[in-house]
Amino acid sequence: MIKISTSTLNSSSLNEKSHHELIGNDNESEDGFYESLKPALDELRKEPSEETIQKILNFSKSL
Amino acid sequence: MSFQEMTDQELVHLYIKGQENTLEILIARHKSRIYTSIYLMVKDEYLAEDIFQDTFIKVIKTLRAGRYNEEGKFLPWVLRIGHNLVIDHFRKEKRSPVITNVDGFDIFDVLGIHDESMEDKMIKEQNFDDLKTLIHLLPSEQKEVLIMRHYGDLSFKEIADLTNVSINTALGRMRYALSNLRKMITNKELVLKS
Repeated sequence: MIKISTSTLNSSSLNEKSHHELIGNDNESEDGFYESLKPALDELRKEPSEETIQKILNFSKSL
Repeated sequence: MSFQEMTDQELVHLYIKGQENTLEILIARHKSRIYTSIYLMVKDEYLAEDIFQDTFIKVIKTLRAGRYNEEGKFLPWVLRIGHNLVIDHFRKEKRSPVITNVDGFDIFDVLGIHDESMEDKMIKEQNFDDLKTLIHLLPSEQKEVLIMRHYGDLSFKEIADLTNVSINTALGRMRYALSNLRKMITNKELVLKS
């Protein structure tokens, strides 16, 4: 099993000003990366429970 | 024309006129985009359910009060309401999203069970959990753009309007988000296969 620790990552180290080198002119490469990442991002999609939706519909009907 | 074939605007018009069941279609059409966007910002399913519910209660009240701006599109408008409620939540709580680390504990190591398919499944689930964690590690403005673009399906113009920045800034933030994600995925040797 691959175990990945994220404890050493610091979001402050990812600020835009200090990471210009990450961008460069490599837009095409970034587009390709995004395309390859899309299926994995899609796996994170979620839906609200039916109970929550029913509460919303009931609220609407109560007005 | 059936309700399913109607545009959001047409359904909204009918709802305002009292056609109650059009709301259900609007929710069914956009629930995944809206809920996922909220969930990835707050990282808590129960809280996301509450904010999703509050978002639509606000939507309903605004529509019924005749205060809906017809110039805007329905989905970006709802996402804006959800986004503002998420911000309100963090302001009230006076805290930033908490990063949860992977503890590395594996019950199957303890039990000595190593079913290959189960292990594959667990690795896959672990890696998707890690991707979620990496998204949370992005600076908030980059995370916002990534979520609105990918899960909310908003254009960069719509994201720019929603976050009060220029289109170029929104585009730049998306680039930074992708660059940072790529760097983190590479550094962590994360393998993502759906």
